[in-house]
Amino acid sequence: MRKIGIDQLSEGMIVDDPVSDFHGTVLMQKGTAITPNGIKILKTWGVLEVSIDDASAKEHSISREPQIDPRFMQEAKNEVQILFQHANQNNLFAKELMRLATIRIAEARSERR
Amino acid sequence: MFSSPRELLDGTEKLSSVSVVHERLNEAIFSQRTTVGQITSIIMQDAGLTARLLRIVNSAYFGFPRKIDTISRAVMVVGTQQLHDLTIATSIVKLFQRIPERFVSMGSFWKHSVACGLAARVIAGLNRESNVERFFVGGILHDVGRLIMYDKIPEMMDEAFSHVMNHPAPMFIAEQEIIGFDHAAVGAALIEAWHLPGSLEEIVRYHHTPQSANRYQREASVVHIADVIAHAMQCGSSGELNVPPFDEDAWTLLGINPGSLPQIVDLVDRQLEGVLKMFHSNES
Repeated sequence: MRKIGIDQLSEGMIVDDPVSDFHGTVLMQKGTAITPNGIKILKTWGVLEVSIDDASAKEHSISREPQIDPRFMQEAKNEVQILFQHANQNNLFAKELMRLATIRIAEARSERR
Repeated sequence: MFSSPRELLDGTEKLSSVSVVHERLNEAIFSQRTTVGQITSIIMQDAGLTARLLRIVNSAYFGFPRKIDTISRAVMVVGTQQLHDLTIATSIVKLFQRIPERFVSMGSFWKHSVACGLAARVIAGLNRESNVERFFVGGILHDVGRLIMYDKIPEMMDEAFSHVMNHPAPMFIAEQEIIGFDHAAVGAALIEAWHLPGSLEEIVRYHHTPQSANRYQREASVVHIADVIAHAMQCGSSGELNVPPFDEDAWTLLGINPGSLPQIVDLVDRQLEGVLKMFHSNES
């Protein structure tokens, strides 16, 4: 089983752990196959990650997040820590905003060099 | 020493023609008997405003399929209330052109303001709020108090800046400690002096503390979140270096889930340059 970001899901992957929304309502049972419509539903309910079984994850080679040099990612992570130093980081909004900010900064850096 | 935000204004409220245009339009909009023709003629008395509004309603920002070539058509398509709020937005740009660039570049300040306005408009749209332009204007105005503070009390602002360098804290907290009140209070006093709607006053006053808003908590929460997003995207700055502390209850109140953040950021990214240009070619 591995956790996969919502943007990396592809059709036919098999859900390995029930998926719930923000309030705990189950949206997909274990064993469900991912469909385009399923992805739309997950996005609508704000799901960020889904557990997928290993075999189907390998079969559908995961299209990784845009390939960014790990060095830039690490620099960006450090910068984002400073950027969010006054914010309460221990919630889903902060985590998602920090993830987006990290990718944004890392991409800007790799384009610059 | 200034004892209240109001004292700081001292003539600044006359900086812009916001209140004059606003008052005439407002009277017309709230009077039951006003016709589209009358509103059209108020706007058309100001040639600059006419040109700006036509440019805006014809821009990608609205994305109307057909060209809108008269103000009366714009009034009918966009609606009087929204056109009124856009009138405020176009008048505000002038304020930003007058302040010396000692603390932050005005381009950066304006970019942060517009990014916040756009994020607020996107969030309001997702939440199906009525009159999304009110949120856009609220976002553009949220830090307007800082313009006045840079202008009137530059030494104290210097002190606030060195304070946050030595004791890491958000800038608005440093303002409260050193000056006794922050840019949110100054901005709100300015909005009051301009006789702009109460919702805008609360948006500006409570954009760091939406829980304290009285009548317009939803509005204040939208702009609070939009400000956080604009900071996280690093779209310009009004002097605050980091993402300000944010209130999780604001997100809950609006029912926004974290999964919609990429979409909000993407929409702001796609509109930002266009809107900056739309306001920039403005001096005509």
